[in-house]
Amino acid sequence: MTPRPPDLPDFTAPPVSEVSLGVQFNSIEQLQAPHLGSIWAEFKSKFPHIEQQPPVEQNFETFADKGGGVPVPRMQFQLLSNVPVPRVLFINDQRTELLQVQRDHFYHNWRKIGEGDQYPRFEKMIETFKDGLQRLDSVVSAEGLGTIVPNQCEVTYINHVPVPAEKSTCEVIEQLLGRWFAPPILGELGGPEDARLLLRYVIRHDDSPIGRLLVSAEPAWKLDGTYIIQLMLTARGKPRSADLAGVVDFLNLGRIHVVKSFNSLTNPEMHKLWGKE
Amino acid sequence: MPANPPRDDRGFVIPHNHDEILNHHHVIRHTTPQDLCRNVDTGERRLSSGAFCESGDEVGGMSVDIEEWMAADGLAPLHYVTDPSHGAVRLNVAELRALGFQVGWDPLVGTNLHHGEVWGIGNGSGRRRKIANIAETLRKAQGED
Amino acid sequence: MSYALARTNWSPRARSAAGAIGSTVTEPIPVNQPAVSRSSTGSAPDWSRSFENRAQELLQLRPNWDNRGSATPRIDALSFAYSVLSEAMAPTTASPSVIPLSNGGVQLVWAGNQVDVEVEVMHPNQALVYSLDHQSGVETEWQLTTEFSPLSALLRSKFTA
Repeated sequence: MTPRPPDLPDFTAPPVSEVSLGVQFNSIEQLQAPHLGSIWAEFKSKFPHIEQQPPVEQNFETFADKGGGVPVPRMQFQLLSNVPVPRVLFINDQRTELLQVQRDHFYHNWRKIGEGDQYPRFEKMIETFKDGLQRLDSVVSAEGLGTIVPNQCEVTYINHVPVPAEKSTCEVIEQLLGRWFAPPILGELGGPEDARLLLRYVIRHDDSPIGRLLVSAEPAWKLDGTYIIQLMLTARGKPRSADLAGVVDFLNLGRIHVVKSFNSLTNPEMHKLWGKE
Repeated sequence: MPANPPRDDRGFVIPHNHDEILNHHHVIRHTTPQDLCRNVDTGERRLSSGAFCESGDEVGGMSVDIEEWMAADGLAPLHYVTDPSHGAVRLNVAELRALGFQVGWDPLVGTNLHHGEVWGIGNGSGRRRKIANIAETLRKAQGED
Repeated sequence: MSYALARTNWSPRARSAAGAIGSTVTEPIPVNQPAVSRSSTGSAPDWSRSFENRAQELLQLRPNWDNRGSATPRIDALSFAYSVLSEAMAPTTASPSVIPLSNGGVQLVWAGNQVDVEVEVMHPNQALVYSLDHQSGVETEWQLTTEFSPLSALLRSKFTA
């Protein structure tokens, strides 16, 4: 297992609720719904439960000089002559870990279900991801469906910060990110009712843009009715090579950006709560 | 009957120059309304270079009909252009080979024994535009100006 | 004509994490946009609607749609072509012609009296650009992956009102 980078900030009790490691690849056009059964057979012993969802759309982080990139409608393309192949979720017994497979994506997720669930750490998750992607590649190859050619990678950390009854959303956002964000008071209007934040940073390699770090903070409800601020950090971009090594490199790099940015953006007072070491 | 084309272990024709497709011969490339692009200044619709793309299947190559072999069997040049919305262009084999491409035979048994391929075009518009420049229109595709 | 901006339909500029499952549902705070008149920054560019219509046509093509053995246009090639356009185009850049290629890729063509620009998209992260200056006869070809500044500069100078 690759050791944790020694200079990376570490928290014993981070507010992390979900972590997702993913790769997008050139669409395996010949992969049909029945093939998903062969794929599940590879993972069934550890992930015995199954769900299906509509497929997620393709995302690309692309770049042009200032003045490029107008807002455009989202488009999801689908062959009208074909029944869409679903995204299937293979889930472990505790329902905390899952793998997601569709024609052009593979993900490994950890999520917090119960209060006692502990984040297994990135170093363990990347090993499960690597193993899963290699097994998927083997099945795809054995079935004669083609090869997996990665074109984008993504690592996401979702953090939940409770909003106590006596506080407003904005007060909690200020508590979380107050070094950078102070809700403006507008005379008789007072402070804002709520706020959302979205930041984008360009990730570079040798001065060339390869991806982005997206940081968002917004109010959300948990299924148990708890009101929270959801602080989500996603690093997404093109792998340096269209193979497993390139994907793992980007996921490692993305994770470093996520953790360092989380540490820089959030307030030291919150770090104490989260057990920063 | 022409000499059999070379094939790989799976029976697929491999790229070759067929000895009996002579340099003074011609091949017919079908065109379709999907191949048309519009001039943004004049609105005129013409064939794009995309009309001369190789397929991505096991044989590869740009699908064509071998005109002189068809004539020898009493068939008109547009015999295989059965869709009324489709058109066709004629290409000289010598000019194709001078551009570095191979012109060979890939018979489709039961459907088109005069079927050939042009190999070596590859990706990118540059080489495809060179083919467009030597193409002679036999029939315009529907919508082509 | 005026219409409210449907917030859920906009902005791939900051797409959220595709793979996150989450145990939350984001609070549906009603942030209804006002019905505003069409503006160059607030509405879908013409080329976007044009591409959507054309993509719908191409996605109905079946294998051997042309009796030449051509493949169906690949969804990931169309998705990436749209990414190229969304990054490289200005709101008023002329719509390209979108040509399905025999190998399942797509070609974006801007044909003009002064210059032709063609972009071949085979797979994601693989775009081949060709340009021809009709006056000088100079041809240029180069490859793009995810950085489209040279293409953006060319389209804005030659095909943008």
